[in-house]
Amino acid sequence: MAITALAPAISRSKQKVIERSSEVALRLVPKIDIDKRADQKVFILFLTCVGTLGLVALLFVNTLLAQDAFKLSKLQLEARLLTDQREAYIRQLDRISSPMALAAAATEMGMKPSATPTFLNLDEPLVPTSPEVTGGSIG
Amino acid sequence: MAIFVAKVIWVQVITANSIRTWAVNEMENVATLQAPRGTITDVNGVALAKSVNAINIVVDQSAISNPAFTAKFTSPILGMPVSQLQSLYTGELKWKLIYRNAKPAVWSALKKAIAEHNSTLESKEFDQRITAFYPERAYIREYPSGSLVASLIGFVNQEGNGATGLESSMNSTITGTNGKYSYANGYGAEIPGSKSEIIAAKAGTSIRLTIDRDIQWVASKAIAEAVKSANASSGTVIVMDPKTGAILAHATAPTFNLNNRDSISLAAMRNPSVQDVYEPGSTGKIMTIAAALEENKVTPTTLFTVPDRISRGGSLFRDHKNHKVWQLTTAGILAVSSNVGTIQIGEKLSNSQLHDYLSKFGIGTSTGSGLPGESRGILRPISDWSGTTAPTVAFGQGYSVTVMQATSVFATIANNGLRVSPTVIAGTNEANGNFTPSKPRTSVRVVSAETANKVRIMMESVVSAEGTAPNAAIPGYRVAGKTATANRYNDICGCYSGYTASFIGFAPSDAPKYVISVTIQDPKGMHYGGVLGGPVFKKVMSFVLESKHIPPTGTKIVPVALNEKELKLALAKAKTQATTTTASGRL
Repeated sequence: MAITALAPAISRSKQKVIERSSEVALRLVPKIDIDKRADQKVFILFLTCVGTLGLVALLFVNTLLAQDAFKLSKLQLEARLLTDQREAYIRQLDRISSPMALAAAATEMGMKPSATPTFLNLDEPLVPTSPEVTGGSIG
Repeated sequence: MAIFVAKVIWVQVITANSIRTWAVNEMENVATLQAPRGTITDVNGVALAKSVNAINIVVDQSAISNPAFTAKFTSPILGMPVSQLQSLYTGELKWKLIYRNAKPAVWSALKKAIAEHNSTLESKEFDQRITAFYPERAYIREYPSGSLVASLIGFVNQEGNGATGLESSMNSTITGTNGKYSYANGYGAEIPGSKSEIIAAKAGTSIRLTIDRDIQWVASKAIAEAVKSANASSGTVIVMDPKTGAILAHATAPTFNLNNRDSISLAAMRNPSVQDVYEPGSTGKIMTIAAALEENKVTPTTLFTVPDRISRGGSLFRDHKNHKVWQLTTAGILAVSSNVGTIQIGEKLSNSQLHDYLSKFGIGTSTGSGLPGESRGILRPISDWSGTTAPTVAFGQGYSVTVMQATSVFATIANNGLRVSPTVIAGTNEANGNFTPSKPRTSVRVVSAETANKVRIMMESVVSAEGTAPNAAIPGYRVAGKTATANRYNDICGCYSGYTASFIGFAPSDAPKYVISVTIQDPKGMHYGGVLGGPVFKKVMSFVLESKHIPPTGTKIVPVALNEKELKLALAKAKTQATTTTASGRL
């Protein structure tokens, strides 16, 4: 008996729910007057932000790529300088080790070039003797 | 929006290729990667010619605001006059070469000085900065041994191509292949990291010579001293291995410094050992005697009656000094270098036999050394021989040889009668380090080993006390050789004027390892081959025997009778020994 007494109230609330739902559904679309236009500022801001972020990202990637290029260039320059230094040292070494330089250094030390070769046969007693001239006939 | 999208599609899709090509053309440049020439080394790998880094210093004239100040600043560093630099800095050119082939140390010094100068300036003095100097990397040719092997090695011209010597004859082998690289051009400068190699540069092939630098130095010093003391016009020493034909030393005097060629005459650039010809004189007697022995016309002890002059073909031929009539053996004729005796030996052969043997010894043909500008010498054909040609040719005049040919004759005797073509190339080294030896040299049988041995034994008497070159003897070693003091043909007067003094020999004579020829052209005053050439031979051969650790063979010389008296003594001794042996046998 109580439930049936509530029927009118339920019908009224049902009606209210239907009206409210349609209001909500209709509210998904913003309330715009027919003679007014939508606001573009947000859209432009959005595009600008996307563009800026994209450029910054591109710049960041390029910078990363270029960073090693500068390092490579610096290392190549260093390598060239080291090659130049190496060649300078080799030049110095060539000068010092030349027969002329060695002969001069030997002379300064008091050494004299040998006039005749003396061959030592280790199988024979090492008593130095005057080498004899073996060329020529006995006639 | 539609326009934007359409433009994007137009740029990124439709015209993308052409825009890309346009960008490449505007920004990308292609430059040459210079390849270094191969190195020329001695037999032990010591560099005699090599390519080293150098820098061409260029300036942007339009960027030099104060040429006078810049010239004054850079003059002491570059070592160039201020006035010259100022005119180089003045102008509007973007690229101006001011210093070619600078050493890297010079560029470093310049760069450092400019950086220090710029760092001292205040910001308001910005216009006083020096900025317009740029380096361009290049290779230049350097010769560490200077004048040591100058006429053999030669040099390159300003374009880097071989101009003389081996640099020229081996140019195609030594020259590298240039490469290419591309780079992005950023407003006149290369953008770092943008370089990309299209074709790699390939270094030239290196050449290893048979030359030994130390022996070369000893030979060069010895011949320079001899030429100077004899006041001669030139001199040459060649050291050769008779078995392989390898040339261990090739020294000439006068010579020139390959690193400083500003005041070198064309004459000095010649290689006289293969380009100049001369009449050999008495060293040619070896061929006549070898031919007569080979044909069994004579033996080492065949006796000849030798006056000091002889008439042939209407001309009178003399020995180098007057003497009474000698009774000399073949060996004796060689020992005293008698022209008359050699004519008599030569007459045992026909003209065509004599001509053929000279040809087999290499006279009148190239030695095959491969050295640029090699002359064949002059040997007239038989059909052109007159009544005096054969006697003249027999004692070493009437034909012309190069020093290389003369050395090769003695190398043939030293090598048991086999003539091996000489060479200075031991092999080649590729850029990857692989060494490829040269092919063995060709050889030609000229005389038998027995004949060569007989000639060697006879030649030992030349360096004896009775010979013409006792000062070529090396104590402890058996040495064989021959002197020559030849009349020298003078092109200017078209006559004989002056002498060619020479000594050619080898050691140890019973197992020859090396042949050395010493030739001195137009000495003034004393002009005998034994006196001038003998000491040079001894000096160089002593060093060669030492440095190559050649021991004496330990064998005793078997003396050959030089005259009638010695021959009789030798025969008597032989008879006595034979009788003693027979008696011992009976007992």
